[in-house]
Amino acid sequence: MRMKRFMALMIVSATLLGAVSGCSSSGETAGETDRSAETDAEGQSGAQGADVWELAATDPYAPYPETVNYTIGVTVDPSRTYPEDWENGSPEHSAYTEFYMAKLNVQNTDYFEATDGDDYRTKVSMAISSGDLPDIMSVTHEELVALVENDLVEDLTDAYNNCASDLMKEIYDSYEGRSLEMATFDGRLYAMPTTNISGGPEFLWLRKDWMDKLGLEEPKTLEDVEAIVTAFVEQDPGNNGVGKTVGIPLCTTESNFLYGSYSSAYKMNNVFTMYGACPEQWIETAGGNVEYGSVQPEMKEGLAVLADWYQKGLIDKEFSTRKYSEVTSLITDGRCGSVFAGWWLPYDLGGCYELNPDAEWVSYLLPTSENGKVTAWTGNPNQEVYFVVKKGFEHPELLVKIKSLTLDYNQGDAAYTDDSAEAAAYMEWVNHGYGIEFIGGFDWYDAVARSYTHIKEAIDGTRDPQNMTAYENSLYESCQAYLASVEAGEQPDKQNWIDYNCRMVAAKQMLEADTNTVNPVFFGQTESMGMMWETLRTLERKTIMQIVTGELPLEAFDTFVEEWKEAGGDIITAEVNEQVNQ
Amino acid sequence: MKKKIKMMDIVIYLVVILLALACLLPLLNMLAISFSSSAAATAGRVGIIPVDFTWNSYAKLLKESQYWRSLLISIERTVLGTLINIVLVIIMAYPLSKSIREFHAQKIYMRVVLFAMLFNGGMIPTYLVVNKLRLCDTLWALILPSAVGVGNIILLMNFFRSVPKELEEAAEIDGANPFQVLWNVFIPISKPCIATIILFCAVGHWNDYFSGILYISKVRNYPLQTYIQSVTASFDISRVTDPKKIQEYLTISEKTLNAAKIVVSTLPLMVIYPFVTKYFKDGIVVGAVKE
Repeated sequence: MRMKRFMALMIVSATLLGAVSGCSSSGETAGETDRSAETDAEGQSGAQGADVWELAATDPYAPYPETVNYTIGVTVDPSRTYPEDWENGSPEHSAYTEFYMAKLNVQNTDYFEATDGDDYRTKVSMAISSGDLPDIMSVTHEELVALVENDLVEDLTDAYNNCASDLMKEIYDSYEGRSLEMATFDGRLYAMPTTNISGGPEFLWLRKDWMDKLGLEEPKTLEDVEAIVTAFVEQDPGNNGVGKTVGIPLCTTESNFLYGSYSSAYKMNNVFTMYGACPEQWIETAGGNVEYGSVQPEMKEGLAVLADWYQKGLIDKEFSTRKYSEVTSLITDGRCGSVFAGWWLPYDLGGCYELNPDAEWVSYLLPTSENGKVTAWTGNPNQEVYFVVKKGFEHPELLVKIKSLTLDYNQGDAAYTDDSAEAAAYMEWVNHGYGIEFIGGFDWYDAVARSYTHIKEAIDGTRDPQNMTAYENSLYESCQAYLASVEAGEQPDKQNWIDYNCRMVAAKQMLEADTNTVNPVFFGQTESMGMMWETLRTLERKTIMQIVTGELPLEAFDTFVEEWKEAGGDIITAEVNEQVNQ
Repeated sequence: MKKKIKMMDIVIYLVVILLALACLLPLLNMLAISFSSSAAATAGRVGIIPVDFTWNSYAKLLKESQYWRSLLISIERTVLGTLINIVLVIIMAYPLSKSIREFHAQKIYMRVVLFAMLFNGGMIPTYLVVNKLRLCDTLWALILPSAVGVGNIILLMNFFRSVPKELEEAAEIDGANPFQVLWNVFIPISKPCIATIILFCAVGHWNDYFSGILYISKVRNYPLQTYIQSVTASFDISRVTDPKKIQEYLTISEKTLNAAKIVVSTLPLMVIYPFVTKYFKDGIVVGAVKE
């Protein structure tokens, strides 16, 4: 009986829902007809105002005479909310899109929306493999190379030359050509790369309150570091109980190994660079050849230190299974007082500060190599975000124009001078993080140093707080709030504490740091990498892990190098040399 | 002898209890995290009892309009999808349950069905088909590709075969046509099995997130699990060096809010289970054994 009622309920509700979905789909069709009618109208009037179109295609700021519709694959963050009075907010309808509409007369239709990362990558590879591309989307360098080879994307050279604002050119120039070079093939530019700012050197971050409690001196050498971490682990200054304190945590997930991308977090790059090794980087040697850093003999000394520390219990015993978030947990829980990370670590210390405001983290530029400096290598000038325009899209300059526009407001001073309603709404959204700016800008190479200088000068009263980017201005406000609460003897707000420690304390140290800098020369892909790189990387990581954990002796490194070279390493090295020398 | 049985019982109970705990503890942990303060959750201090009890996450969740929109889409998909599944399974399993004497092409149909179960086009060709049919970004993209569940057909087919022939013959003598036989004889008898299949389908539809990622292109149209996957998937921060982005990712990855989202998303299934479990055992056993 009950079953019958249940079934009946199911059928009724299904019919109702079916009806609802039927309605919505017919609504969509109606919308599409409207849109195609619009396009027709455009086609007709296009012939009349050729000059205006010409101007729009060659000037960064000239709006299009008629609304230009473009399709785009956007990254989104589904958990972002919209302001309360903005009921139907979506990536197609937001303060951002209204701003683009008002300034340039362009409107996007989303071809696909996905969260940044794997989901977006899935969508892009689906689009590429089905040959059904949106007018604008962002791809990785590997995808870019393939798209250019198959002639599927527009040449943006003229669009860039004509429609990039001065500010955009200035920002790209701060990378000394390295950024655009990666999107240039045979002298022609095919993508707008999203740049990657300089992360500066990696620091050793220590709990100063623990050091004071144990009466430890500030570290100067590798031996000092070892002594401090030993004291942390053995004397348990955090009262975690015997054996509960973790020394130096590392992560070893797929894309987050114990060395590699520099100025990231929870790696030990500095221990390798101190002996002259640059793992996972393509480095030009004295002889002019390009070599892969992970297979150089200098690696052994760094590995010896790691293996020694692991054996002494100074490296997290569980490091081989740690995820990034688990290391954050250790720090937040007060079970770890020593990590290697870039200047931005305080962003990850918010929880620790909240639970224990007395936890004082201090960063040291250690360990140094023989000449007393830390050796740091510079990163890929670009993030894996290259905006491309589909071959055959009528207005390839549209991409350059939107990006120029957002740069002027995000990185330039247009936000202070433009008092239009759209601009105000746009900045309101940018500053509150409503929705997500899907085609937002990028930053100067030395953005962190710049922001430090600007904020410092503004705090000292020698710079007008409006004479900096809007984002820097918000950081300045936050730092001022931090200083005000310190002065009033109150506990500073978490976000202000984070901003101040990152932007004023760590950034200062980063700016003043005197480091040896190594510039890796290759970040791209070669032909054989597609087939062999995964295997080689697995081999490398497996061997390194085994050596660190003592499963293999240090000498196994030499065997690994031989094996690596035979399994394709030599071929790839030759290919990289060829590409670099081109 | 008696003692030995008791030992066995203890072992069996222990195993069952351990299995039950393995299912239950992660749920309780999620529940506890959703009611804890965010700092305690980040520090990993929450077990199965909330630390610093707070309703904050649920208050925030109420304001997230996309969550509720996705929830409605998921309900719609589950109800509609399950209905289509079960109708197709029944009308397919019934003829296939007939012997070759009654239904000459039975073997051919069976082979086609089995072939489609064992081999399929793979992700990209399937995507191409769905895309070309213009199903992408509609609810149908989530329902139609998995409309015919071969495993369930075999389950129900076997159940139908176990129904005594005499019942069918009696109905035919009374003048019932095949549809009436199906509707008035087979379906009422097979209630346990059908209820089980409904449960399988409903759970499958409710929990499936990947087809949402693949076929749905706008976040507004995400079903719930796709939405949850997209907000909880741990973004690899080490690949990001843009400070603005680092800040964004570190401030938005709220463990407690995500836990609340997961807890609420499991509720509908928990509500359905008690209604269906009583049929569950009969449905599977009888359907699976008979040939």
